[in-house]
Amino acid sequence: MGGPLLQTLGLSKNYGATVAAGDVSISLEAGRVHALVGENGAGKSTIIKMVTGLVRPSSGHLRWQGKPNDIHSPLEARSLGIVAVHQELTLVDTMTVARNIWLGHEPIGRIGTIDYKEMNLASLRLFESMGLTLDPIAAVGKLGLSEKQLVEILKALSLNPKLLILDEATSTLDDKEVELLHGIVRKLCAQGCAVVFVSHRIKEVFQFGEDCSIMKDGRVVFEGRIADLNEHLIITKMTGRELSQGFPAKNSRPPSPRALLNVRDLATRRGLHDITFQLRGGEILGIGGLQGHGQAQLLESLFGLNAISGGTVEVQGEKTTLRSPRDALAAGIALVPEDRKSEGLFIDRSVEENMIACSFPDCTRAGVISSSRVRDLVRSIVSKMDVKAPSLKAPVRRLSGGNQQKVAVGRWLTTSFKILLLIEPTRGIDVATKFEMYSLLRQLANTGVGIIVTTNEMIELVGLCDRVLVMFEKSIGTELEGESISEHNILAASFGHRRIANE
Amino acid sequence: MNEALNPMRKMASRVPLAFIPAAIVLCVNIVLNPHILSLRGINNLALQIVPLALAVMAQTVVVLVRELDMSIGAVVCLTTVVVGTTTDSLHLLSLPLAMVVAGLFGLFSGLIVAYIRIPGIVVTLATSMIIGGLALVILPQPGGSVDNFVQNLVNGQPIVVPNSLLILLAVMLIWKYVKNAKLGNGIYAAGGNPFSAYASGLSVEKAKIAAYVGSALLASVAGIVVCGKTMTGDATIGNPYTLSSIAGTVLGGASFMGGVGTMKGAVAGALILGVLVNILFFLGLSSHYQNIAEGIILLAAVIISVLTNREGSD
Amino acid sequence: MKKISLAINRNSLRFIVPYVLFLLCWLIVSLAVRGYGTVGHFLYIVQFAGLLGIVAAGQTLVIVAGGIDLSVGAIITLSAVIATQTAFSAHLAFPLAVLAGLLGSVVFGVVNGIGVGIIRIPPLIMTLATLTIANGVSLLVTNGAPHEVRDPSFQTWVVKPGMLGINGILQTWIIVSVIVVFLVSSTSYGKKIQFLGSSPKATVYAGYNSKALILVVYVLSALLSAVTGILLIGFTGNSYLGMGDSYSLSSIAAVVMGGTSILGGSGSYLGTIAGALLLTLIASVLTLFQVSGGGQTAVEGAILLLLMIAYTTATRTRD
Repeated sequence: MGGPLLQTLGLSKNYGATVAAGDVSISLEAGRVHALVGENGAGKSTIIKMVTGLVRPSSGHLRWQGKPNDIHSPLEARSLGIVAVHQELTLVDTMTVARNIWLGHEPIGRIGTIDYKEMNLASLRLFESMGLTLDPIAAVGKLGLSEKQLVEILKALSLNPKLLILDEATSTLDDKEVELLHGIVRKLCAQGCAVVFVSHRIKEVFQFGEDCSIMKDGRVVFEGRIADLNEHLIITKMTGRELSQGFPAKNSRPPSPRALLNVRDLATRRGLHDITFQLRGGEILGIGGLQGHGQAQLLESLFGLNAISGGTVEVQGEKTTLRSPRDALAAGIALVPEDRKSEGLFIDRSVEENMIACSFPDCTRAGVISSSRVRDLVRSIVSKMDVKAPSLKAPVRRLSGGNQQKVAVGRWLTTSFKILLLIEPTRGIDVATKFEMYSLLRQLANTGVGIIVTTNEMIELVGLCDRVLVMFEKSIGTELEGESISEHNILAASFGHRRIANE
Repeated sequence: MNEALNPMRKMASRVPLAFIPAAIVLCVNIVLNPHILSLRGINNLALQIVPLALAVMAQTVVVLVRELDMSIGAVVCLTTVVVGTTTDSLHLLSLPLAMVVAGLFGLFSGLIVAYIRIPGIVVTLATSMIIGGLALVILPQPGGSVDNFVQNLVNGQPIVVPNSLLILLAVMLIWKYVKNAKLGNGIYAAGGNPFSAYASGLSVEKAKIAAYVGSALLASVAGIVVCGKTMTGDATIGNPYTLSSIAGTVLGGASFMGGVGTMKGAVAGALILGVLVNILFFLGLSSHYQNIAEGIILLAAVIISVLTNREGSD
Repeated sequence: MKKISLAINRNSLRFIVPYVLFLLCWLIVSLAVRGYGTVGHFLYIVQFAGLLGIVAAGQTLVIVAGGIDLSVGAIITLSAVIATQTAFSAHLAFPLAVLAGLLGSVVFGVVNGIGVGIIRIPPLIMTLATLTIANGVSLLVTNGAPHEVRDPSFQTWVVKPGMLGINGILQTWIIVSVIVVFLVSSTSYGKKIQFLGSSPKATVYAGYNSKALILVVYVLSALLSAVTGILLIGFTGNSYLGMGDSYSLSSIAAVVMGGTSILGGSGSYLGTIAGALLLTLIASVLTLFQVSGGGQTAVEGAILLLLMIAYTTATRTRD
């Protein structure tokens, strides 16, 4: 065996002033599994995008089989044999398993049509060689999420990859299926394929990985053998940054004794179960955990966007039915959704219009808009949130991400809400605005309202929240309060451990 | 042999659901009007259903890529006009001419939808005005003549099975080939999930263009059958086909979300629609009510389609 | 005093373009053709534009809200036919007959609103279905034979210049214009339907009752179509099957020519007014050159397509 299959040499990617990846040099050996570990935003997906030709590096080079080969397009990557499986599926629900696996590279028969018989047989051969039993002519739409993920993986395998990248490809698989996947990966390695394995699940990292690179803040902080690591060491290397100064002081006053929001045994048709917690006025409650474990779904359910199948929700002692956002708003619950471009804002409308979008009763008389009332409302929001816009009449899509988010949050300020829910409120906005947002949320909390925030950013959970609920597999796993809120504990709880002593 | 490739299973998945109501409706019609089973009766029924079936097939192709074609009726009109006016000079060549003209309009619509990205509904609304208006300009009053050969081709019945039915079968065979080729696969993928199709290296644009060209060609064949039946050109005769094609597509089981639909289903849908109207007529419903009946059938079909699709997507 | 702010920004440039086009065409036509370009000619054109403009007002509202209404033409016919038929056979007093026509149309508007807003049938298909049903009902009501209208005072009001030198059509158009422009620009309802058309998903998160918004917009469209139908009776003196047919596609053309996006969200009736004027002028010029009805439709369709392409590519490059 010659040198490494793929080498990245000083690979970097900058988006303006943000360093997504800095001077990353990794070696991938044929026939071995290389685990890539790091928190959200550590730079893993940026590196993968550069290796699969989706993104051009700002600097640095790639070497394939010892020869320099900067990959310029997804087609080029595929022709070299580099195939990636992402968490985002690329399947067509209305087609069969076999057609999905061979989509784009179907076997062609004699008269120029697709040879379906051969396609089905080839699929069966593929299943067999990987130790799977699937029905090639089953409709993909009828499969469960984990089965779909397996089909997505098989789709990659059908391309005979030399380098297979599994980017969070196990998030929907259960233990048995992960074991299955492990067997497939072992077979691939025996055939000389190199595998990159990205996962948040530390257990799997140890199960699959032989070599390992740990990334933090865009750089590689460790490269070596898995055998030289343990779980504790990995977590420590992934985290361990100083908490930035600048978070507003946490709740000094004790929160009001009566619960503002009382949730008991909440369950939804989409899988949430056994959700029980309270929110008191004046506190900021954070919801953490690995992506996809139900955090956003929980808040959406409290806003009436999900069918609730069991449990009760009480606002200020009164039982509330939440069948729609209108019910939620009537109960005093407001939501700032995750996607401000298509959900939280009317992106093509003006800044002014967005600010009054939820306050029509306050600025209209018999349905007619009063421009003086609008002026007052807008002025108060602009001053409270310090929104910077070229003009109030400009479409809100022209504002920076941070200012857009200020409008998305600000439009609720003039309504009388008791509970404010925010899903990933600081995603995609600059650091300075983030801290302005934290101060605002703390100010709001100090007026007596309750705030619930879901976020993937560890430092927000630690720095901003009075209490943190860590969700695990669609239920609340752990509750942390006060001193026990730390990155270490949150991360550990995200993997399902109840409590780990602080190091 | 592996259970998965059991031929019985494959056959079961090939018969569209719409065949059942089509069969029922056909039986009722036969009971009400036994004359349908005569040689003449079968030919008449075929001449009524075949153009409708072709129009529904045209709409189905476009619905497969998540679009709509509002110009099907206009293409039928223009085809009869082109054939009716050029038969004297071009004889048999008037047929391929009409199809080429239709195909070019289809290509035009497809290019605008695919590359300028305006919804197909409104693009074809505009092109239907252009095509229909053009037809009226060429032939303001029904007229022109149709070659004897065409008349015999469409109306004839030399081997018991009506010729028009044979034309339909020929078209379906051609579709079977296209469907199993990469193009057909691309159409189903582009409609089922455009993002996945793109991520797998397929061209959604090419699929949409092909769909609109195919729709225009199918509508044009429908027009040829129509003018073989009426033996003249008529610039307004095709207009009802637009609405009927949508109704038939829905009845045939296609989904407006794209990626779901078959030509067999389209034919079944046309059968249900056409025969239902016959039945209502036979039960004494005056032609006054025909409009209302068609509109209600369309509504009922669409409501069922929307409600059942919604359950599936949760 | 409340100010009606006409924000002249890049967005509203879209709605000035059709006025410029209209003035350009007007200039060319008055120079090129004798007898054209006079005030009398303008008033003549304007009443045809008015009939189209009133229907197009409803169409504007529907398109801004993100939908489309193909049934307007059939509803014009229906309202006219119901009014004349009830006046004739039921011997209803004319005002009551008019009311019957309006009510009949509102029923169809409600049906459209329920189908699109609650059952979520695509608007194109829904209104296509109601179009055929409405035509069928018209056929039933008249039994195929049209009737004359027997109310000379109404006809006079519609056609002859009255107050301020303008006739009933123009008076109605002006009132409708003021109401619709005010509705869209200065009421919460107007803002909400613009939001609905521009980002339907976001209206859910803002807690709007989109079902009610959609229902009202289709009822308004039906009502305005009915008004046009009634005015048409006064204008032509009778009602006949198919009298409203051309208005369906023409109203959509007028809206799109006026700069409103076919996808919904951004739109102004002020632009539609110019679109109606432009369309009517083009039609009259085509008639002058003896272009048949079919040719006019073809030209309308071509202009509609060109403008859609122009507006789509122009707004895209701005991003």
